[in-house]
Amino acid sequence: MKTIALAARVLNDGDAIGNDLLGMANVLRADGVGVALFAEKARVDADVRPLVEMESFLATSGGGLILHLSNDCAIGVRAVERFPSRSVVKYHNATPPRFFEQADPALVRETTRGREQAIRLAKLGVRFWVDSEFNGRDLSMDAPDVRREALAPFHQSEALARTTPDTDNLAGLDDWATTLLAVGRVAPNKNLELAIDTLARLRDREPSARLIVAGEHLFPGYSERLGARARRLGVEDGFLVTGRVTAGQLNALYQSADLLLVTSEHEGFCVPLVEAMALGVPIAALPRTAVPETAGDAALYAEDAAGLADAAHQIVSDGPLREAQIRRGFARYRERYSTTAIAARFRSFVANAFTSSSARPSAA
Amino acid sequence: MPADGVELRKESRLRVGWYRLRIALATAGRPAIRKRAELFLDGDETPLESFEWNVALNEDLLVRIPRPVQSLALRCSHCAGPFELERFELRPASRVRTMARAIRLKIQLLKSYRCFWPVVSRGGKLLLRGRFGEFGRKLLRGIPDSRTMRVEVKRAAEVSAMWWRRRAPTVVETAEWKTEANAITDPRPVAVLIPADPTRVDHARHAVLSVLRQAFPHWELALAWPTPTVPDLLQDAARWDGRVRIVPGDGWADAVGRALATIESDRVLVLPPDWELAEPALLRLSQLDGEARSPLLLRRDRLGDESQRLDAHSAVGVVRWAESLVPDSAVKPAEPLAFPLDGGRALEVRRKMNTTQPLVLAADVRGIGGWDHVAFEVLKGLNSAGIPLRQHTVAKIFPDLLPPHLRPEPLARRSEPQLVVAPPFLVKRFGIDANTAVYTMWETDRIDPTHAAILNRARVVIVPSRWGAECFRDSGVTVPIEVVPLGYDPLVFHPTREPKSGPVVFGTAGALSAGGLRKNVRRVVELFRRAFPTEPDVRLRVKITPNCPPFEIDADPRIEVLRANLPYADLAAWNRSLDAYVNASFAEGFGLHLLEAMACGVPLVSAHSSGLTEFFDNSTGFVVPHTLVATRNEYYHGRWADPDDEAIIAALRRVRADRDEAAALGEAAAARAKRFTWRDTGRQLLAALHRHGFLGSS
Repeated sequence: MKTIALAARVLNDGDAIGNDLLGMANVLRADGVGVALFAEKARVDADVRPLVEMESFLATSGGGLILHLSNDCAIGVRAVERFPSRSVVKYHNATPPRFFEQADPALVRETTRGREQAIRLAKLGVRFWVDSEFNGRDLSMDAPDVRREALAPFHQSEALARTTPDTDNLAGLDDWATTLLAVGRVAPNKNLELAIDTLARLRDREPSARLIVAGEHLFPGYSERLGARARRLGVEDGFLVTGRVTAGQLNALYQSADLLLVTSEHEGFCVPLVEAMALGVPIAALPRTAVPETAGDAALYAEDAAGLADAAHQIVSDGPLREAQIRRGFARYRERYSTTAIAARFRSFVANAFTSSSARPSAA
Repeated sequence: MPADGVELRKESRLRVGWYRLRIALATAGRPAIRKRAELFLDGDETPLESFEWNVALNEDLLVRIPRPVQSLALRCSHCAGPFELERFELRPASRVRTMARAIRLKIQLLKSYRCFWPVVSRGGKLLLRGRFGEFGRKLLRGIPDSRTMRVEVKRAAEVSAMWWRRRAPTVVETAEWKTEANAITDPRPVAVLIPADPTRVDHARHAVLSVLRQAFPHWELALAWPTPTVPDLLQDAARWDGRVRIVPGDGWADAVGRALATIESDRVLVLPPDWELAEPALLRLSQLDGEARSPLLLRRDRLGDESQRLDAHSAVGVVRWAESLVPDSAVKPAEPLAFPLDGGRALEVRRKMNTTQPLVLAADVRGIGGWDHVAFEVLKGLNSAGIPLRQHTVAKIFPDLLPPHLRPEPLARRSEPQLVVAPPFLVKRFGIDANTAVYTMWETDRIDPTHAAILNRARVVIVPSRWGAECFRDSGVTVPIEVVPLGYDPLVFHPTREPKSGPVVFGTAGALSAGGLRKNVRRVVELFRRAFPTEPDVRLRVKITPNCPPFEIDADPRIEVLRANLPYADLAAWNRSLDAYVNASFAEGFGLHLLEAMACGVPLVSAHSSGLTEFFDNSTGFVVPHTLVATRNEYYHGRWADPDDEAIIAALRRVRADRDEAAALGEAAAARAKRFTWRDTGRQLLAALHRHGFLGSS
C-alpha cells in the first residue's frame, strides 16, 4: 500500500496519542510508505489535513487508514465504516465515563460515545491494534469476536532522555527531600487521592517527602478536593502540581525523582511507566487495569496507601532493591518498549493488515 | 574575531527625571572575555550607563536623565556572533517610588555585604546633622552596585559553569573541527601576535590559552610584552608549548618589532590582549585565507614595514595600528561557536526547620576542587533539610560562589556541634573535639598517625566507603566510624540512550602533576597503544587539568587530549561519548568522577580496590586484577593497588570486540549509580549525625 492515512480527533505533539501517531508516521515514511495525517484539531509541526476530508482521500487514493480511537470520533469512525477492509483501529481505550460523572458531564458523553464506536467497529470485523492486552480483554467483553492484536504505543521516552533537564522553574529539585513523582493530568481516573494518602503515610518515616504531579489541572472540583485532602492530612506543603511541563522539565522531574508513583484506577497502557523504565526511575504502583501488564516486574505493587508507602520507603532506603528494580525496568524497556522493538512489531502488523490477502471483506 | 559594534537608536523625547531601565541581552555565540553595552543620550560622548556582560545581561535599575533628550542609543561592542536584544524599556519613575526602591535595594546590598548596621548608623548621623542632600546622594549611589549582588545560580552545575565562564566546546565539535583541519591538504601556518597589556596579565594569559586550544594546529604565537620582565603566571602559560614565544621589549613598538622578527609564518593575526580566540577561529581564518578572502590575516612583511611607523603607547594602540591595515571591505568570518552557558534563576528553596540547634560547618568552598564540591553539596543539602548552619570562622567560603540564601553566617565556635568536611591533613585547624563529626577520606590504606590522633579527638569520623573505614580503623582511628558514600547529581549525569556508532571510544582523566602520582593517565595511553597498535577504529580521549605539565602524544591521531576543567554539563557529555572509562589509578578515596561516568551509562575498566569498591564490581564493568604495592612518594604512605597491565589491555580489546557487552554493562552501571545520588548521601549523613547526637531531636 503506497499511502496510509493516520487519523485522530486531536493530534498534539507531546501527548500520548500524538507521540503514538507521529511515531507510526516516522516508521512508515522511513519504509517509503506515504503518510497523510488527519485530525479535527492539531498542534504539531507537520502537515495535517481536516478529518472531514479523509473519506474522499481514502476513496481517491485507495490507501489504508489507521484511526487512533479513544473518545468520540464520529468522522473517523464513519470513514472506517465505509472502508473497513482497509482500516485498522489503534485502540487507546476510553477512560470509563464513571470517572467523570462529577467532574465533567461533557466528557462523560465523549467517553461513552468513544466506547460505543469502538464496540460498533469491533463488531463490524475491523482489525484492532490495542495498546495493551488489557484493552483487548476490556473491549472483548462487549465485542467478543473483536480481531485484536496488542501493539504498544510509540512514545517520547528516547527523545526525553536526550533532552537537557530544565530546572529553571522547578527550584529545589536537587535538594535532599524524598520525591515521589506522578505523571499525568490531574483527573479522577488517576486516583491522586491515594497518592496523597501515600505521601501522608510515607511522611511518618520520611518527614521531608513530597509528591510532585507533573500534569495539568483540568477539573477544578477534583483539584479542589485533592487540595482539601492534602490540607486535612497535613501534607499540603509537600504536594505540588506543576502544570503543563516541557520535555526538558519532565526529564528533570524524572531524573530527580526517587520513584514514579502510579495510583491510577484506570489506565489503558500508562506511558509514564515506560518513560520511567527508560530513564531509570523505580516504580511503585497500584496494580489496576493495564498497569501490571505494562510495568511487569519493574514495579513494586501495593493495594493501599500503607502498602504503597512501604514500597516507596523500600525503594528509597534499600539501595540494592532500587538498583534491581531499575535494572528490571531497563531490561523490560529494551525488550518490549524501545522504539526499535515497537517499530519491528508495528512493521509486521502493517505488512499483515495492509496486504490484500489478509484484508477481510465485511458487510459495510 | 572582534566584530564592529552595533548601535540601536531610538528617537524618543525624554524629560529630566528618574527612569526605570530594564534591559536584557542574550548571546547565542561563544562568550568573549567581556562584551560591552552602553547607553548614550543624544550627542553624548560619555555613556549614561555601561554594562559588561558575557553570556546574558539582565538589568533592572534606575537611571536619571539629567537633561531633556530627543534620542537614545544603545551601543553594543565586543559582541562577536549573534546576540539578541530581548528587552529594552525605559519608563518614568516617580520620585517617591525611586526613593522607596533605592532604599530597598540599598538594604539588600548592605545585607549582602554584611555591613547593614554600621551603614545605618552612619546614615542616621547624617540625618541627625541635617545633611539630607548628602544622605540622598549616598543612598542613590549604591543602586547600580546592587547588580553585583545577584548571584543567579540554581545548583552546583551552574555554580561550576559560572566559575568557568569560558566554556569549552563539546567533544563532538572539537572532533569535527579537527577533521576539518586535517582535511586541509596544504595548510599554511598562521602566526598570532598579541600585544599584551602589562596591567592585565590575566587577560594576556587567557589570550595565550585560547591560542593553545585552537583546533587548527599550524600556528605560532608571539606575545609582545612591553617591559623587560615577564611575570611567572604568563611564563607558565607559555611553557607548555614550543610554538609560544613571549618577547619582552622596551615599550610596545620595540616589543612588537622584536616579536615580528621571531615570526616565521607569512600570515599574522593581531589579537587584542583582552580577547580570546574561539577554538575554531584560526581554522576558519585559514580556510578563508585559502580562498584569498581573509584580510584579517596580515602579511608579515607588510607588518614589518608598517611597524616602523608604530608609535603606540598602549596595547590598544597596537591593535588600532593593526586594524588600520585591514581594509574596510574585509570579509570577516562568522562567529563559529554558538552555545551559551546555562542561565538560571536563584533558587527559592522552601525549607522547614526541623531543629533549632545550629550546626557549624567547617569546610572550604573556594574553587572547583573535589573537596569544594563535596562541601558545597553538603552545605546545600543540609540547608534544604532545614538544618540551621553556621560557618566556622576558619573556613574559607567565597560568598560569590554561593547563592545568597545558602551563605551561612560565620560563628566563632566554642563548643557548638560542628561538621568538618576536609581531608585528614587539613582538619586540625578547625579545633577537633568531642562535639565534632569529621567527613573525610584518604587514598591509601594508611593515614598518617598524627592525623589519626587528631581524628580520635572527634566524636565520630565519617568516610565514604567501607574500604576507607577499614583503613582508618587499621591506621589507629578508634572513635566510631560511619560510612556515608558521596553522591552525584542525576540532573547532570545520566544516560541519554543515544546509540553508539563509529569508532570505539575509551576515556581516562586525571591530573598529571601532584595527583598524577596516583592517576596513571600516561599509563593508560601506553596500554591503549599496546592494545591497539594499528587499529584505526578506536579512540582514546584523555582529559587532563589545565595546569598539567606538557603532555605530548607523538602524533597519534587516535588519541585526543582535552586540557580543561569542563562545566558539569559538558563533562557529562564527555562521559557519554565513551564506550568505556579506563581507570588505572592506584587508588581513590571514593572515585566520584568514576561514579559520574557510570551514571552516564559508561562501564569502567578498573581494579576492584580502594574507595570505588563501594559502587563498582564486575556486574557494572570490567574488573582487572591488581597487586597491592607500597606507595613510594612524598605524598602518600601505606599501600595501594597496581592494576595488571595485560588485563587492562585484554579488557580494552574485549570492549572493542563486543560493544554490546560494554553497553549492557554500562546500563547496569547507570542502575548501580542511582544508589549514590547526593540525596542518598544526604539521607545517610543526616542519619549518622542524628545517631551521634549532632542534630538534636527532629
